[in-house]
Amino acid sequence: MKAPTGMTNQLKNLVEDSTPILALIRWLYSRCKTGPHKKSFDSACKLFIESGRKKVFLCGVLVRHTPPIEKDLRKSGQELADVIGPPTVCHLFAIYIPCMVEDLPNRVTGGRK
Amino acid sequence: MSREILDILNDSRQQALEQAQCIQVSRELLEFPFDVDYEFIQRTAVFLEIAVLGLIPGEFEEDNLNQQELRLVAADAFRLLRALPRPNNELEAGIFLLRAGALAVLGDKGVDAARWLRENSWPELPVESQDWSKRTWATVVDAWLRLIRKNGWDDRDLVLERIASFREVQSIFEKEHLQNLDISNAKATALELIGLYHLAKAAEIFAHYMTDGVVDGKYQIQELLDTHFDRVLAVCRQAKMIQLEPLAILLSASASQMAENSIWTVTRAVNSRVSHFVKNLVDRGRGDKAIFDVLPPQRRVLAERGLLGSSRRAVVVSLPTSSGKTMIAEFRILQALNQFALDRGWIAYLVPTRALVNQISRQLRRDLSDLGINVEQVSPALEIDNVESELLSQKNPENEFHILVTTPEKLNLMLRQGWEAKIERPLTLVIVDEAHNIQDANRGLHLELLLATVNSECQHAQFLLLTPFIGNASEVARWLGGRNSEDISLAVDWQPNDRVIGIIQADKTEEIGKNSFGYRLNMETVHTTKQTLVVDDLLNLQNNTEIAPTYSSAASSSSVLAAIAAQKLQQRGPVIIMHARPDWVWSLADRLKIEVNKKVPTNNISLVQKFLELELGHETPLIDLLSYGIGVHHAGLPDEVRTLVEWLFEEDELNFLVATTTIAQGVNFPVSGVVMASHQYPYGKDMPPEDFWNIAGRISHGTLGVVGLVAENANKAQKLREFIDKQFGELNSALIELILEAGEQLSDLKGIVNQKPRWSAFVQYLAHTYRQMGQPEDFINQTEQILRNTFGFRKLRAVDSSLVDRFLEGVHSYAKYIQEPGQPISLVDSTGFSLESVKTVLRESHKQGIGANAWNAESLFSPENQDLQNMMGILLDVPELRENLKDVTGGEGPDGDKLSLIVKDWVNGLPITSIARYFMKNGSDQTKPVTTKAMTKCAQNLFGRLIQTTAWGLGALLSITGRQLTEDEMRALNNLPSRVYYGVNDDNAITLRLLGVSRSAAMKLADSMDDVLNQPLTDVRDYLHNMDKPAWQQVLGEQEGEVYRDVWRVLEGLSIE
Repeated sequence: MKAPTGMTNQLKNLVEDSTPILALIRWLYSRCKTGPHKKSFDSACKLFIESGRKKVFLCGVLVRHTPPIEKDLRKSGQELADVIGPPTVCHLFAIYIPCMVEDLPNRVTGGRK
Repeated sequence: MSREILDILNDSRQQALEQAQCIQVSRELLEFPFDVDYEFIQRTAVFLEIAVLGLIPGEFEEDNLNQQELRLVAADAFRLLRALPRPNNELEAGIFLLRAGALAVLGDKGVDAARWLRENSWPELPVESQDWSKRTWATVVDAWLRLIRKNGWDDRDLVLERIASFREVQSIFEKEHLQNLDISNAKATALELIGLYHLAKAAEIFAHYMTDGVVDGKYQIQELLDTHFDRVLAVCRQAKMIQLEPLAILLSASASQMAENSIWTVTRAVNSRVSHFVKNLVDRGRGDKAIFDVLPPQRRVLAERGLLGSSRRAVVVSLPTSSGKTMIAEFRILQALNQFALDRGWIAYLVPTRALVNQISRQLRRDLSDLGINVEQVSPALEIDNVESELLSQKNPENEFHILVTTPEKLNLMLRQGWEAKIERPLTLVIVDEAHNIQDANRGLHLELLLATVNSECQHAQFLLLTPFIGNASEVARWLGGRNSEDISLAVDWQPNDRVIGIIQADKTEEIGKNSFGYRLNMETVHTTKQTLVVDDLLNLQNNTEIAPTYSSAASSSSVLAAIAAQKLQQRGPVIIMHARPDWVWSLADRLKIEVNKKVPTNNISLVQKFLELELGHETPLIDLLSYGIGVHHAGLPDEVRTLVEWLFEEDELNFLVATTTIAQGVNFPVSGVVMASHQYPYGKDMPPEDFWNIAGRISHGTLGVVGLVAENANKAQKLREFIDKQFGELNSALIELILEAGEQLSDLKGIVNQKPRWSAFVQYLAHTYRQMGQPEDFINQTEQILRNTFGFRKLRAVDSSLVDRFLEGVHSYAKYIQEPGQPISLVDSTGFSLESVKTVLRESHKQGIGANAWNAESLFSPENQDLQNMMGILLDVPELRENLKDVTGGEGPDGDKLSLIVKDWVNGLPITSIARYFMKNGSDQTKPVTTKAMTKCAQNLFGRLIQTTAWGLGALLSITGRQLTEDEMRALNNLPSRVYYGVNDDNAITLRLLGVSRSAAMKLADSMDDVLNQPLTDVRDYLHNMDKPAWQQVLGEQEGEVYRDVWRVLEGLSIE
């Protein structure tokens, strides 16, 4: 996956440019300012600020419509290991589905629009 | 949560702000950027933005501390975002700017944001895009950015126009767009569109409200806006809208703040005059000068602190410079006029200088004349001539004045001469501009005693005192209004833009020749108490080899350094450069005459150049300087010339205004920087901190105001640091200072005026009060109570109670003295002299044989008449006049002869160039050209001292020696002092001079306007307004007619087309 919008590049971009993370935090704020998530949100913000945006848990999810290929994630992992280090954590997941990715939304929603 | 974030952010917030300051300063002043961590600034800005979202109050929440915190955090978030580079993508850039703008509004930095968006507009947004989603975003973002920028009516019109055309094509684009959506995000996109439509509708509502104050018959805009913002937020809850949801929350709060800032909201339902006034302020005809919002300090004073609804008798508005105090005064004027409409009450607007009398009159006339409010000014000359007498006595409601603009000294004399009763209408409001002058050593006492007199004698008078920030506003308010008083002060300084204050020095660089070195100018930014920007590094302002080729030539004087610094700073916009004396101002201005500044004169510049040629001769150096975009402003120039230079500066025709430090007391100029070659007034006295901050506060042009003080060496730099660090605190009374320095003489108030003329105002106050009280026998017992009316006496006990006792003893013995039989007490009020001075004049005039018969309007100023010489001799003995008149003779001892010759030449219409010969060695030698030095000295003495002092002195002398004259005879002579003041020898010309016509033109025009000049002043003004160019040319000749007409229109604040 070498495409600029591929998972590896997306993760790399998140490390280099925190704009999308900041946009997410801004959006999450109004949902977490009260209620059950408030505490988690507050401590996450604290960690993020105090670590100089380093204490981040990144999660990469690869979705493909092929049989599972082990080196998909290994290759990404090796590449990301060069740019991501503690205290940043990155977990990679791969989901191999038996249909075209484009059809996935339709299947998830059961055909409802 | 917000507070936790702010606690965690504390250090980062400071560091990020420091870096943002560096970016801003380097962008404005340097060619290269500082090395900063943009990502860090961005991250900090976002968390501050999150804190803002948390601090936004709910609908019924009211928490002042929260509100204050919200403003500070939002302002900081704006400062950080402003420092960041804008995103490359147009739409992303637009959204980024909108977030910053909305935060600025919440942080009371809306003026900064508007200027920022005007100076660096957003990229063209895809408002015509074929992609409907993009087009909708673009239309909404563009509309809200325009509502924040408010560039006159244009922005508002474009908002409505674009939203209307957007709606027209909606049905065509929307359907197709929705049909083609990817199923995975169809619902979110459709919901987002609905949200954006509501934002567009809210923008449309606000655009209407901003100019009309009403939308679909509804005056309460908040509910209308809430309806749409609530719907946007409801939509946002249905899907994940990362961009729209936080933006909508921010926009909702800032739209609410914008509604609060709207001039319509602030002034709603006060009275009909106020509503008409507001309509005029927002009128389309005012173009980009239309006013839609009040400034934050105005909002706080007018709405939040309730000045417009206030019935307080004394209000002190203590706000930083450039907070729009004049408009606050205008609203208070309308309220007072309304309050006393039945009694046809009038208002006195007091300003400290002659220049401000003209400027404020022009501004009030421009703003209020459409409401049928007559604004008049009376000259600062201390007598009421027949023209002013007619103006003040006017009984026709259409022509009677409503606002009188003048100086405290003049109003003081007017009231003491019983003018409130003669006007037959009550004085209802006294507005004191620059009221901190109450502590001015020379003139403060006049103001203090005037206010005490008004407070004690004018039944309906209310007070509005306008000052830059002082610590004891409530104390001052209580002095005048007792319990019925209020002070409105802003503890936090508000400024229309950011400021940097620094010390500029030359730094030696590489060797460029034998014993000569190159140089660069460095500016060290200085920490102040006023939230000015500071950067750790020295700012390199480079050098200018055209002004100074080497280090030794650059560092040789503060003038050269100031010229080099000004040359660099003017690249950002107009600059004022100050020096202590007029002759130094000329030489500094001369240094800026370099090729790169030369420009082709515009019509306005040419007009002033022609006027200077006619009035001061073609050799006047200012003519040439104007061709380089350099104006000069000091007391050595005639008033009209100074006003014209101010006008050119206001019209952006000049890049430099070189002025004496006395300009600190003055007029508002749109400048981006001030360079101070000196921080002192003439005679080496440091400028007081109030005046320094007044100057710094007037820098309202551009994003960053720069004040640079130049230092030739390290020693001077250290002095300047200490000077900048001086604090200004409580407002004090000049009376206290007088008492403290009186020493042993405190027990002899009868003789004190001769030694210390400043005491004159105080002993006159005692004499006036005695007379006003009907000369009671137990006056001595009442003196303490009378003294309590003054601000100083109230405070004196706290300073030194034994001094109070000594002072009271002195006052008691003076009270006994004025009670002695036969004392000419009434002449104290009619002359403005102390009792002792009146008696000196009586004695001396008797000796000199100056009696009623010496007064002859036809011959007094004729060359062969000797009476004027004798009169001037007497005036030179009067302590109140002595110093000013002696200064004119150049310290060569009393010289009534020279003074009378100058006065006669002036009254008989001789040009300044001729009069200047009196100020030259061998001036009578006509072959020698008049030097600039002589011209400067002449104007400085003539306008700064002689004419005003002589007019006052002659008026007083006439009152004292002309008591046997009949009323008609007196009336025929009443204008003599004004002939001196205006420099004309014709009573009709005085009217034209009062209306601002130049001296040379006034004499000629007066002859041709005999019948018109008998009419009320307002009618004569109308006549002049309507007089076309040929009519002027017919009287004055082709060129002179055109020049004098145009100049008069400029001075009157009218267009010259």
